[in-house]
Amino acid sequence: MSERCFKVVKMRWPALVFALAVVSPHVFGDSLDHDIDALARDVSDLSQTLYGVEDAMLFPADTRVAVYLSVADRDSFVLDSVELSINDQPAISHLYTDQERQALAQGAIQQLYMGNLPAGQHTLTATLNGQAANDHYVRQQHQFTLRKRAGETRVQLVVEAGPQGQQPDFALREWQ
Amino acid sequence: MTIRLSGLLAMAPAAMSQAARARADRPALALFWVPVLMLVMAVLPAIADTTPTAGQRERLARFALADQQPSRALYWLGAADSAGADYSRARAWLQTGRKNEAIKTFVTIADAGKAYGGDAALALVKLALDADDEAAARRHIDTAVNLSSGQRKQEALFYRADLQRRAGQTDQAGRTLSRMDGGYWAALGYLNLAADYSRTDRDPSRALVSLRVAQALAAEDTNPDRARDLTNRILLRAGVLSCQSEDYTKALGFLEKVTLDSYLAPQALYFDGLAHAGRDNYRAAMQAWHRARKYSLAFPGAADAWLGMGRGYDESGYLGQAGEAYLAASSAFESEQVSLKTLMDNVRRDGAYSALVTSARQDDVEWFLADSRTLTQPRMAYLLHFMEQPQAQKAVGRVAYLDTLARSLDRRQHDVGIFLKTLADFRQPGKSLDHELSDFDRQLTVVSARLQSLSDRASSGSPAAARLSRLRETLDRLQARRETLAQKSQRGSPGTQHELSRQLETVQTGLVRQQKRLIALRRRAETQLDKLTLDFLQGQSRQIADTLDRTEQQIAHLYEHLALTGLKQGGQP
Repeated sequence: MSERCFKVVKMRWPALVFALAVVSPHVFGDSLDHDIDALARDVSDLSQTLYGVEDAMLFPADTRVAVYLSVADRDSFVLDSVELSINDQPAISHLYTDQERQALAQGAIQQLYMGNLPAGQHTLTATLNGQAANDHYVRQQHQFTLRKRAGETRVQLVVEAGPQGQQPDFALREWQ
Repeated sequence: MTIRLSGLLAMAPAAMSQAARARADRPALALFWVPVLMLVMAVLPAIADTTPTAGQRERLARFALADQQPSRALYWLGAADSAGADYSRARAWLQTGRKNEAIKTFVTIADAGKAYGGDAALALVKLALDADDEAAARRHIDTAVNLSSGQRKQEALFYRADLQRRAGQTDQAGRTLSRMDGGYWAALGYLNLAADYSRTDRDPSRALVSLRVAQALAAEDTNPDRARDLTNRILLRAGVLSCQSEDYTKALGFLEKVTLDSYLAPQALYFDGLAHAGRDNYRAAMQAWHRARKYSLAFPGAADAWLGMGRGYDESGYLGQAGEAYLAASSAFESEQVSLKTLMDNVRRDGAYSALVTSARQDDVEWFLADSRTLTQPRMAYLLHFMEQPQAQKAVGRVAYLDTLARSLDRRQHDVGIFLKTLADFRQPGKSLDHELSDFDRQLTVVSARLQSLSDRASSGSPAAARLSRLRETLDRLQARRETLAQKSQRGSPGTQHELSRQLETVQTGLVRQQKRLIALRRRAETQLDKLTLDFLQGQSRQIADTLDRTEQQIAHLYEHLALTGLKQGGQP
């Protein structure tokens, strides 16, 4: 029996090798994708754990300041970039991609900045660059006073349509 | 900190006494501290609790997805339960390896037929088509069309038309396309339809009509780069069809509109030359082929243009120049074979991702010349040609994804190391500040009561009332600082530090494990990519070898012709 099996295999091995050569890229490709998916899952779980630890460690509740950004009127302004300074020190700047602009136009909120500030009064300067409804390029700067109390402080910069829909306006709202 | 707080409290009664003496002529106004302690303690939690709401977290997750941060999006979403949250979660799962869970969630949302139903159904259609499962795509396409709006609806209609076309129902596909709005999706649908017509019809009229419609609709696309690329494809296709049906005037009308910075420019120039040659205008044909020769031989059409130059001289009667042109072509092809061999050696040595993909990027300062340099660089040309195959796109995408993941894991590993060191260095005395804080609270209560009493007696708007108000603010700040100190004391407690360290060490161990897995997976992905790339380059090398053979045959024919002509002339009396 075993000799017969050996003969069968010996006769048919070229076909087997050929079949393996044809099929293997797909099989190995699929199993590689499956393994990559499994890795991506585990890395994503780790990332989420780390985000929680980061928030607790780097930004303790008593000094935490978070600045968010949203767009109230999708037609008023095409946001190109935004720069944020706190107490005249540059904090962060962001250049927007088309996908991000689209997400903001559909109501998404961006976590623009997360940092630590002592209690008291601070100056927040926001500069936005983009294209207004009349297709003119605009660079606008707004200054706000931020009062840091005990506990988390979360504020939201909202880009709104300005008067007569020409120049956009910035409003600062504090999350309650 | 304790001394400073006590000092401030000690100052308050002194300030109150001073104010009382200064206002001796008025009804006795001593400064009494408002009993704000209980009020502030009651209010503080409300001020401190600014955790994002479920709706805000969903909106934050949406931006994180647009910012290509699916893990961050999942962090924001948490266990949020709404149609929007479920849809965003499914999209994030797709990008983080949870395809089955994502599909189940999309099916639930699509079947519910409410918010995001159209988007979910469209995602299912695209996933099914990716997996070559047309039956599954057909199950969800009607939901996608009925529940979507705007550009999503146009995209869904395109897929419906495409499914009809694949099933051989070209008339039905045409009817679906005719109901679409102008723009990219409609144009793409008509382009695909034209490809079907050109395969089945002997007369290219139907295909050309479809291409003209596609060209008109592509002009309405709001994305100019995408519109330009699609228009170039349409024009090239129409030009080739016209050439094949020997309508050279029409062909020239299409081909001369293809932009020269396009990947399709060499091919368009070659066919442009063919169309001119078809009208016996070899001078114009050679001008077109001469421009095509400037492009790398990796581009389709460039090698044929080299041969075309020789043919053009031959047909024009300049046999000597024809021979020189063929010899120049032969030299170019031999040189290209050497370049290909060098590229293949680089791929074997450094891997395809490094030799072909990353090295094709420009690193020098003349980035503003990128557009004009891009198409003349052989490496970039071979990369673009290679990436035309879907299998190549997947293989490169795999390695690129693992490369990005590796850098992200390295960054996180670095951050975790810093956090652990910070925790180790963080030295809180560990002793409780409860006794000092209780002492402070007692003194604050007394001072607050005195302020309240004085405030009741002060008349509104008077200078004393203003001073009392300022003292009240000082008291608020003292209270806030007391809270901060209490929280820091709690944070610094050994229990909290230990818990954070434990979590970080778990994350660190997990990261090390994932990095090892990633190295092994990357090796496998790169091996696959290397094999695909070498197969492609060897195919290109064989094509160049064939073209070189043809060139040498042409040279042989030419010299044979010259020899026979010479013999004839020599034989005549």
